Amino acid sequence: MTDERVILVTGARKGVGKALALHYAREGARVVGLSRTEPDWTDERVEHLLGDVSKEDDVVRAISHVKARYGRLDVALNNAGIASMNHALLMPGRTAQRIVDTNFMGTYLVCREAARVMMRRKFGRIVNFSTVAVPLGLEGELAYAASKSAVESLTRILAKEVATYGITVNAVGLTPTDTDLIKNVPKEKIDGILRRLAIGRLGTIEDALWAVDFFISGNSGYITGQTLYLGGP
Amino acid sequence: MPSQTLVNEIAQLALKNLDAEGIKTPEGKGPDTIRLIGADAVCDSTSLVAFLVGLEDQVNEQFGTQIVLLDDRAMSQKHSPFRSVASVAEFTATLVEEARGGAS
Repeated sequence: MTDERVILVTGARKGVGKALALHYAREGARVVGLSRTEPDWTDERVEHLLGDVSKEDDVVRAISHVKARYGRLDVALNNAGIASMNHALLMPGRTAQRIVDTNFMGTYLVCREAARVMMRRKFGRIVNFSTVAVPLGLEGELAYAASKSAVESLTRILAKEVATYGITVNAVGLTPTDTDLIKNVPKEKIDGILRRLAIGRLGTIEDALWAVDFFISGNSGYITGQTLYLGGP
Repeated sequence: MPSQTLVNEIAQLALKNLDAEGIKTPEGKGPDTIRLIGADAVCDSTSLVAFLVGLEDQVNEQFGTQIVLLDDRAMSQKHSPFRSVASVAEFTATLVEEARGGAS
């Protein structure tokens, strides 16, 4: 078993996931990235695995690999997520299903498998990702917000079910952040969301990093089942 | 039906796993009388989860399988396969045999 902290980051190919992977690699952790496609970047402390979080076999295989290779898993960051803005009456069923499969089922499957490894050492930190679209009830984001709302429920309930094994489960509620996730969202829509936040600006990757740092700190063992929204929705 | 040898082997794994989880079992009792759930159970809900996860891991490691103990079949049986060490061993052995391609 490695003596180094092992951190799993889903959706590590780009955006917030890439930043999280590189941030914790720089801090000396062994990072395992899980993405559907190969990233266009490498780092000697980051191992990339290919897999789709919405597919149970992919998740089981990835976490089994982590367990076999590193013998431990300290932190799981469930960053992988997709969004699609659409009026509810125009949303194709398949799109809504894909969003729920990736955002909710993907988070659930990774949580389940990660916690099973973490419980052996009686320590673990799981951070899920939600969105301010949940408390704001953003129109046009029904499937996305509903899937993240499910992630928040999962976070609260799982926190209770795994607390006895020394595992905390929390979520960060992101604001629109300058990543690919919002590249197709019209500017006026983004501006409308920002006007509804206490701090009316786009989130930065550093904002997300800081919130994750807080949750996975060794000092945060008494903090669980929480969703921390950025920006003040 | 799985072979009795396999069932016994898994029962021994289960007993070792109960011990590893710090779950005390009554002395002198065999796998068929060590209850995991219900009245006189040796596990509470928390330790039962840890026991099943540990057993599943060990079985998959030892037999090179990818079985999942808490599958739909386990949940839908009239009598829970997790009621005793003997029943969990028999259920697990069935899954192992199926995974090895020996399902009838």
